[in-house]
Amino acid sequence: MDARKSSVSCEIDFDKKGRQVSFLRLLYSDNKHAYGMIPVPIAVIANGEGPTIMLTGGTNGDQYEGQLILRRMIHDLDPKLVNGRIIIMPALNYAAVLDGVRISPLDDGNMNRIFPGEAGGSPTLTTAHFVDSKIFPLCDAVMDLHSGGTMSRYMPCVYLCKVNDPDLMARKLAMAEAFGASLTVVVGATATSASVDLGAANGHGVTSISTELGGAAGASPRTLEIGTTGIYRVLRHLGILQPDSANDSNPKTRFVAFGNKPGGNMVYAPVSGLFEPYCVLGETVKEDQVVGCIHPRDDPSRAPVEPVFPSGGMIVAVRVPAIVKRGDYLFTTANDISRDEIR
Amino acid sequence: MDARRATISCDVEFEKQGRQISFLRLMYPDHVHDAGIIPIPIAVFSNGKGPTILLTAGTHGDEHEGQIILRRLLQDIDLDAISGRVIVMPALNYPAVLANNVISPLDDGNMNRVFPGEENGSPTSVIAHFVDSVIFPLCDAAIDIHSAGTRGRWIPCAYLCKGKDADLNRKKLAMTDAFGAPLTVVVGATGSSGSVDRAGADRHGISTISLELGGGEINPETLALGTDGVNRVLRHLGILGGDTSAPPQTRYVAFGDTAGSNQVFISASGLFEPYFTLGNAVKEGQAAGCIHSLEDVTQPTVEPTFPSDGIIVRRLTYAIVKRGNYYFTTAKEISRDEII
Repeated sequence: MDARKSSVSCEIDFDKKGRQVSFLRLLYSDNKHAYGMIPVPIAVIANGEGPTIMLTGGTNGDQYEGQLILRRMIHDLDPKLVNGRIIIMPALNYAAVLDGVRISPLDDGNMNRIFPGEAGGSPTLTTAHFVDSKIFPLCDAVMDLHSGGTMSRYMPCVYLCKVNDPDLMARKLAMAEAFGASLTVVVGATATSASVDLGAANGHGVTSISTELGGAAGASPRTLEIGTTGIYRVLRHLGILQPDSANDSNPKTRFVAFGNKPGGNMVYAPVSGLFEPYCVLGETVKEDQVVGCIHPRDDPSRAPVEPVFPSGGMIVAVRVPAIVKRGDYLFTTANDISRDEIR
Repeated sequence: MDARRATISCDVEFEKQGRQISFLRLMYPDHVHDAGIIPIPIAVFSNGKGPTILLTAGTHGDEHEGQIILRRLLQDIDLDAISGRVIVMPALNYPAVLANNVISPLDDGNMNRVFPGEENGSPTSVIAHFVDSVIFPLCDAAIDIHSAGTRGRWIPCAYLCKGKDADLNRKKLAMTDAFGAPLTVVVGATGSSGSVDRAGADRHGISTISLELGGGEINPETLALGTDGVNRVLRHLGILGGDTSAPPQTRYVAFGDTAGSNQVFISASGLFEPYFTLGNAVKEGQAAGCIHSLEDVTQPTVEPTFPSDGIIVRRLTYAIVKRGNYYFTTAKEISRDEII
């Protein structure tokens, strides 16, 4: 049991029309935050009678593409053009966002592992609990925006996590196709509902997808554009925004999945050192192909080590920092699957 | 004056023919290193008669491309193919390399600011002094390999730092042309000789260049560009024989003369949304990106602008910015005729 106790309140009126930009008041009486509150940003843009979507970024604090895209959307979205409700939390794990780190500095909580959270628990748990108990019940759809963070870079992609309910799965697939990333990673069904995505889908039957939009603790105009256009396509797909005749067809996506062999789609560093990659993101590699070379950092007279890919596939994520420790992942690969295999 | 005292010794024989891979013994009797040495990697490959070149990387510890390229070269070099001598130091500021930091954790020394160093000074200045007093006098040429470190990225480029000697400038220009980077940044003469590059040239009359080979994420393309360029320089100098086909054409650029006129100044801390990236041509007054408040999403955003026209040659890659950061560096194209 965690001894840390916090609570959340919110003065947003979720039923009100128009644009509200405010914050959750997270109360956590530690050495720094007693007699104050932690203001977790939230915006609601509502008009008409259409469906509700929640958009989240900063679920992991060092993933910036989603944080930037959603901050811009809060300012740019015109409530008059909305038919329904868009709830935006651009810095879901706000304490982690402020520190530019993956997990919360307040309780070491990883927001994407602790749904449905806990009322009165530690800060990350109470934030998750608020979302799970107050926001998800309002939603028809949820999109959680991730990227590779400080350690990784991903091919910009949608993560489509499979669920057992075939109707829900069909809606999730339609939403992933509406986003239209060049790549959609299909992840097998699990019993867990600990992530934002599966907390919404398995916990509440909400149509949810997540994205991986780049990484390396930064953002580029290209990844921001891919994310923004994908979200707007999803909003039009759900009927929250009007169809746009210039952009009414979704770009075709390529479906991939990870193999079943445990660890078979990851290359791990067998020794510590300085990593020289031989391969790049998006490249197709073969089983036993050399991935790169780990040079000893201290003694260059020692021979470097060349790990190999445990299975063939397309590289969908790469490690960013050049210095590696034994056990660190270097590359993630995935294999093409057909759309028919997804259900 | 710095109270830290270190000494250095070396069992490499610079006049011996053949392959030697060893280390400088840096002695620094602090709490951690009193009963040992700090082994700074050095390799010497010597065969026949010909010029001597010093190749250095890890001058800043968090700049990894050169460290990888030189470690690889040290494993792969064919001694029989050499006419002359190649001295390789892939981790020049070794304590900074191990700490993955720009400067040394032992004395906060920036290896590219302390030349010519000091004989019994702090660790960084003692290493610099060894290079300046023992190695540079043996050299005809030197290449010091940098990058933008872990938080930024350069268009891969050669730095041509001009000195007062026109003949030496011509030799340096021939060397950057042989390297054949996509860009060559030409920098005017200064009074300082604190860097590896300027100490080699200004103090010893050696033909030196330095490189900025990317940064941020390591990619095979940049490593290949650096390795190919270094090999072309070795052929240009006659240290390696073989193919002397024309190097890729480089573009020459220079910075403006006014301080900060080529830098996008971040006026507020926050989360930065870039509108441009490396290689883009930009205009004076154009918005470079948008600074969002990390804390308060209702705050108006700030759009810093480019202070002058140019090409973006360097950018930061981290999204979190602090007031005072230079997010983008731009440069203007110049003709080759303007250089000397």
